[in-house]
Amino acid sequence: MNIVSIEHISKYFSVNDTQALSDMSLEITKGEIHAVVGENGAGKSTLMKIIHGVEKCDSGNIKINGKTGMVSQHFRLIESLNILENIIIGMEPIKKKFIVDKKKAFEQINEILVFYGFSLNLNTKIKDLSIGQKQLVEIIKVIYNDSDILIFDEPTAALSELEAEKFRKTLLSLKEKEKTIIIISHKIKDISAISDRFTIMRKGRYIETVTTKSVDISDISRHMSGTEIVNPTIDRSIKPGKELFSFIYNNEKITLHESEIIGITGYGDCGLHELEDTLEELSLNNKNIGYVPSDRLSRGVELNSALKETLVAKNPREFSKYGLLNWRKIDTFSKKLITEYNIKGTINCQTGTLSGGNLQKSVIARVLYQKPETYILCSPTWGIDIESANNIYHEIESLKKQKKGILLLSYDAEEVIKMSNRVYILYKGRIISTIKDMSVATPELIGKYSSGIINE
Amino acid sequence: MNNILKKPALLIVILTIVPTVILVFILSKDPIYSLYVFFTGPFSNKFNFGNMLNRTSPLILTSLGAFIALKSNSFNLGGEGQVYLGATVTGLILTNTAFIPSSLSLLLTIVIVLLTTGFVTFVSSILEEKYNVNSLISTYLISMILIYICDYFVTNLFLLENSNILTTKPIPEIFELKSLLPPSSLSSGFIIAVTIVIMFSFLLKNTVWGYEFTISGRNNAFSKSMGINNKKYKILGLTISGALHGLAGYILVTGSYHSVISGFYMNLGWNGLSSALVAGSRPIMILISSLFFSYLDSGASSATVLSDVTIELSTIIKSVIFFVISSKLIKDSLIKKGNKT
Repeated sequence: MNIVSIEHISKYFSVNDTQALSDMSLEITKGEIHAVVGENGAGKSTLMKIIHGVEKCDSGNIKINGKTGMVSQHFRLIESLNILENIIIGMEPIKKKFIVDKKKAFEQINEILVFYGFSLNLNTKIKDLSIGQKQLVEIIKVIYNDSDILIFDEPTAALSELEAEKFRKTLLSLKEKEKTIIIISHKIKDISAISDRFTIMRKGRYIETVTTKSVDISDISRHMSGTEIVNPTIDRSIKPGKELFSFIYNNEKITLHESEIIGITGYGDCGLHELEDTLEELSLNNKNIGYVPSDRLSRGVELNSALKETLVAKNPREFSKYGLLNWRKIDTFSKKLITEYNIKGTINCQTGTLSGGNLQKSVIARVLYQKPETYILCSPTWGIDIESANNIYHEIESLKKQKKGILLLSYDAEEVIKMSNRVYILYKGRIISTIKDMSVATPELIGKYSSGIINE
Repeated sequence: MNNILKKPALLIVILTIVPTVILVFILSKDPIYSLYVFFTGPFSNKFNFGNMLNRTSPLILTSLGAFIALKSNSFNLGGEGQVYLGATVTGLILTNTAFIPSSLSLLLTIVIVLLTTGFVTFVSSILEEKYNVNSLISTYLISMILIYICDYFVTNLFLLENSNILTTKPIPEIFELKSLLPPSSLSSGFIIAVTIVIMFSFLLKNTVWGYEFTISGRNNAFSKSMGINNKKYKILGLTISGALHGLAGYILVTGSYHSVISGFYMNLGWNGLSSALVAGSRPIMILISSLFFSYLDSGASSATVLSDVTIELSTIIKSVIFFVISSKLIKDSLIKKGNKT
């Protein structure tokens, strides 16, 4: 039985002149886990918003037999309140007309916890939770609202591998209890491990729906983007050259050499963010350091400005004489960058209308143009489709060949292992371990260090 | 309807004119004539037209001041007091410097006006940077204090005796701005104001300074990451905003009233703010929105003189505009949120 059936819907956004969806159809059976995959900007999030009812479509038919609940990429929780209070917001059980019945709420939520086998202390403040736990709170909130259809927008993007594994188990237990689940994800593992079927979208259109069991992993990736996952072959035989740059983190000196990639990783609040802030400061005072921020939407680009304004932001003085900007020079320069790095956009378009992959390309293009010796790349492939991520890996490879040094800060253990000469693992604001021999590095090993299970 | 929604400026004009028409129909015995006078009054003769333009000159400067503050991501709610301060300083210097050459004292006046009013908002922005005092509040409170201080000078120490209004003695004729369209009061202040807007428009668009100023105001995190000094531009934005309000006060005295009158700054600050909000993101639009505001004002005065409509009407219309603008801002933020794909 189809719990959701969408027929030939279209959606046009006048603000940035994009056809987000055109003639899109989707059928979802009750009780299945259905993944929706596609490149950045394929219209997945818009489709989910339409199913959830927060966005209206321009034309087409939608039939939904049940209540929908959405867990979006960015959590909507009030940090200073506890779990219980966050869950019941908007749905508070009431006694004596206007008093919130916390006892009843407590019982109701506990029932849910027991039924699904979750463990959480309801009195904990949100700010004390890990990302995975926050997500669990969002899920319980949606269940508490009696939703039958749960929609997840890139749920595992911000999670560590360990937490992502837990999350997948959670989804399976939700499925057992007859909830229907729709999930958007870029991670092959989410799809291969738990989904029953997946639907591929490209440029706002329906491509096909595939039963997951009938294909193998590499097929999924080909289905998703038309390209295979390339395992970047970092040439580890290139010996690191002379010293480029060093900094001290928590009494430990980290030195970066030519042709060297140093990976720094960890889970959740391990201190990676604070380290990024420190390194950002360093990059401001040193022209030889190029910095690609992890928060590319606010630090990497200016969403409300024209693309060319974003591209020249680091060095506007280069395009000026006596303080006067030479817009013709800026235009030529921006056009050059756009063609060189294959950014899909025009120099005068609003930066915010670009898709995630193209935004990241713009950031990297700007940093590469600086021609620094040292690169600080923070979660460079986060939330980016496979094709764009591959391009970024290739770029890093060629930088290494050009004797540049690269600091790779990333929560993605696999990425760090693939690229680095050595890896530092952070745990609670300090370096818990250094892996120098990359042949022994596995995501599991890094996972154990990151969660503090092994301590050196 | 969708097409209209895409052009907020047009929507604002429609949403203000419709209630005006309805109000006139309710309040007037001869609504058609009143409306006719209301809308054509400002263009009926040289006198009315010139007066309308002259009314616009200080408004253009206050709008530009508010605009610059908004661009640097702060609010200057103290426009009223800053205009009054600029005017009072102008009046006091020009009426009391007969002993130095006139061109020197004119130059001195402008410099002192810019410095004093700029300093007032500079203090607000420093308070914000150093002690986390919201400039939205501090600009307003400081401006209220300034109004009382200026009133003390105007209505006590320098009050012109035997006058039926609270005013200082007129400034010497030599300091009055050149009249452009007699018999109307249009003065060269209008040209000054327009020139300054064009100048800022150019600065913002075509200089490194303007570029960094704009980017810094739009996105702090980004500009910090690009090595732009956010603090500097934020302080500068509010300081320039204050100085421009002071200059509006200067033009008010030298171009329109030729003396400092208690309360004559009334609404210049607030109208400047709403006019800046209507103008949106392009400085050149300030000219159009300021003209629109004083057109409404002048229309209301014509209607008051020639028909049975009262002056309160224009105030009501301005409140309507404020409502419409604030809803427009809400709408903009909704559009941005809803469209992330």
